[in-house]
Amino acid sequence: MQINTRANFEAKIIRMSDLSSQIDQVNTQIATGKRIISADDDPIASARVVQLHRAQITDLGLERAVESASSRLSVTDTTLEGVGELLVRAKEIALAGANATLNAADRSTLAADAKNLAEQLLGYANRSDSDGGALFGGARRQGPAYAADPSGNIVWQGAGSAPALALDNTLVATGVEGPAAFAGIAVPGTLPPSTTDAFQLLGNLQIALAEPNGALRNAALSLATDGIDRSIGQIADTRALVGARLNRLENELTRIDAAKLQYSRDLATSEGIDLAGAIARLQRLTTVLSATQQSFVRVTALSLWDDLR
Amino acid sequence: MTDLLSIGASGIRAYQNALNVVGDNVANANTPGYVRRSIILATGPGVGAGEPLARTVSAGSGVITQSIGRAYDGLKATAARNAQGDVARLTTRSEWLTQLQSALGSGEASLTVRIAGFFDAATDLASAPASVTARTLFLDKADQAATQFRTTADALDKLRTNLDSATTAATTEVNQITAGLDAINVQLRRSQSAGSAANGLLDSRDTLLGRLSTLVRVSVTETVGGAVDIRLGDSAAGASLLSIAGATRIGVANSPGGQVVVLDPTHNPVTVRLPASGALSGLLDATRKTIDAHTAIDNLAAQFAQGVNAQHLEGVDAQGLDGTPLFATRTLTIAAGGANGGHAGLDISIADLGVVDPSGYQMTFLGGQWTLSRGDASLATSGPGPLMLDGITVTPSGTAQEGDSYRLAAADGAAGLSLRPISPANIAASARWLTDANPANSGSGVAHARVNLASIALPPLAEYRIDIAVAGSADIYDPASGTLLATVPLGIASAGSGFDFNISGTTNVGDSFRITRALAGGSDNGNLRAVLNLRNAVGATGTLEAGLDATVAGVASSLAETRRLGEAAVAVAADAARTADSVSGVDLDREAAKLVQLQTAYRAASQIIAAARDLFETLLQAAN
Repeated sequence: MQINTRANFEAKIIRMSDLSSQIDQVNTQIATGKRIISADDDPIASARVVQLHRAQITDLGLERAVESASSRLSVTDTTLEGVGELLVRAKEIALAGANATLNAADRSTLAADAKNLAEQLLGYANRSDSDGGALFGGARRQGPAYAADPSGNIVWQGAGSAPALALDNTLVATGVEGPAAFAGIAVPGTLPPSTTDAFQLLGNLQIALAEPNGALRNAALSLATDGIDRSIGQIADTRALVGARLNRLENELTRIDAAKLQYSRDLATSEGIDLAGAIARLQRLTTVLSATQQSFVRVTALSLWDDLR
Repeated sequence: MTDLLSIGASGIRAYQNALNVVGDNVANANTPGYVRRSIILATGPGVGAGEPLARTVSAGSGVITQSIGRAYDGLKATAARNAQGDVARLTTRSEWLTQLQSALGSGEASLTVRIAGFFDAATDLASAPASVTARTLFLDKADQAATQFRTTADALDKLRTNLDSATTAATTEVNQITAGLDAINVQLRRSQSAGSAANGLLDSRDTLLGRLSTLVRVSVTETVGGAVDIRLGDSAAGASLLSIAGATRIGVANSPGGQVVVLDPTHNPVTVRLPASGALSGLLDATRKTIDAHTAIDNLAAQFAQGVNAQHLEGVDAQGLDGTPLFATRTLTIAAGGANGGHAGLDISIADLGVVDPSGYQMTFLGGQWTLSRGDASLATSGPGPLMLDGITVTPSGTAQEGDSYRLAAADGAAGLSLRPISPANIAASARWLTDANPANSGSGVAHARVNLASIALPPLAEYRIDIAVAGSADIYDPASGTLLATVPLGIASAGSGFDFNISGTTNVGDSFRITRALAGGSDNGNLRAVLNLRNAVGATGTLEAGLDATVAGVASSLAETRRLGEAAVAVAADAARTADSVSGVDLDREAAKLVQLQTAYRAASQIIAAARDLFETLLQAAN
């Protein structure tokens, strides 16, 4: 077969530039640490990489949301703990008030204490979260969660439910609505069944302590003690609920941490480069290129024309 | 002796020709399309029959140049041409698909990242609905997503424009080549001899055929004198591009989903199927892919904007107002009339919530003033400008000629997507209707309210109370006045005022629920959670992001496939070219050897002349 000089040169040049571009690609892969430079290098792996990156970033956003929900629920828990302690003190006052040895002056001191506790309770109920919104206002965050109506009753000003965090198709409420913590305390022996709330109970306690008739006073104090007991129980239940939610969030954070690790592993296998392999490949390519160049020079130097005199 | 002299002279002439051919070959060793010449020498024709004053036959009659031929193998040349055409198609396709891939964006400047950014900002805002910072960031991300849709649509439009001009350039080149070949055909038919002039023409013919094959696949039939007939495609039944009747022009025409090639576009357009080889077919492939990608992006933009807008309308913003659309979805593109003589420019601004008519608009300069009319001519306004119609302000500048017109086409989809000028407080994060249950309820029922603007069963109030007075039905009260508004059955959705409501779970007599409208500064995130659910909503092509991934991956995988096929085609083409070149190409070493050989023969022939002269002189001396 006859060798065509022009085609021969061109073929060698194409071969060498092909080697150069391969070297360039391996070089870029090593420099970026990535096997996939553009999507067409490996369409399937690259689609997977896009999904992994997205899941990674979404989880980061979720992590922030979970942390902010956790902080809100923690504040709720601390506040409810304070409310529980306050109600225990109210119960002590009620029990002390039933002591027959106390005189009217002692009871008025206790009533003042109870009034103080009622004010503190309102303070707790109107706590705000770290953003300044009402903690127990449900979906309303502006203004206090509880305020006195014209007749002096403390009434919930909120509406709806606390903002929720969506975790895998389930909703985790990031707060407790005021009535769920403070109201809905059944009054025994009423028909139809009626309920009261912690504010009213502390009000009743003050009224009971002011009652001059011993028998009526003791009956009212016993009723208040009973109500406060139920209220303490409800606060404890609410705290358990908050604790369960905090637990759920904690689990979510653990999952996110595990997922983060998994994502970076998956990303490493999908788009990461085997550095040792890449360097070996680079070495091989440069060797081949340099050999091709030398053989090109040698072979093309052989020309009959040099020997024509 | 005169015989010997003329034999020597014929040798000199013949080897001079042969040396010329070698010189030509060496000189053209690097000329693309040059086919190696080979000289064929033959014994000189016997002359005379031994008559007086004539040469004797027995003495021989020297050598003559029979022909200077081209070392050309038609079959191998055709194979090489066709293989080159396949390479051209795949190379063109992969060049344009690479551009398409980069038009779809990568890294931070890609739709997938921007849309994910929008939803991630929504997650952040949902966890702090009242935060002005989170609201500002959310708006920023919404703007970035809309901008990226526009940028992508823009890049795809530019790509389409470039593809169209490349396609037009390719068809123009095909027409120029067939016209050039037609001229060569005429000369070849005229000369009809295998002289060196004809060889030059044949070289030009083959070069043009090579260029033509890189553009479209053709079948070539050689006729008298080396003139060629050309048909499109491989079969003899393909449309004729060049025959003795002359060249037929080709052009491209738009068709649904892409462009097609038409024969004789100006006089008698006939659509022809283009064989899958050559740069033109690669361009049409890339055009189709670009159009597909554009359609996909437009559909995704519509899915995104319509979904977000519809949901945003159902919420309540930080000021307690109903949500408004987040995105504007339509814009106008300007196309100047083809016959415009003036140099006017138009500036278009669309007012927020301006209702751009889907039929577009026409701006015409007639009777010394501008007229802006709807595309369907249902409404128009005239004046010196600026002109306003449907919330659109068109401000003409520069000078227009009488009769100049501009078409303002309504563009939906990705190109028309933009964030409306709304403030962070206008983000409707909260659900419009909030529900809660009386803490005294003994049942576990939960009230739900869903926005339905068509519901008008109740008078519009800010708050409703629902009491269960009798099992199985609910009484709706106005809590402010205590008026009974309606009694509805439980267990099914009932119409309210701008909402539907129902109570799920078990209820007992005496239970009570509230439905209240969200107020300013609420901390509810119900509507944002609904916006976030759009991320998982399944449209025609799956979820928004899955559809986007599929579009990008589709382009990437067809690019990867084209690259792979391209590599194989390059190898095939290199083989075919080597085979053809081994016949037609110049090997310098071989020419050098030939040169030595011919030089020796030339010297020998000149020695013959010297010998004849010697003999002649010997004879003259003897005669003295």
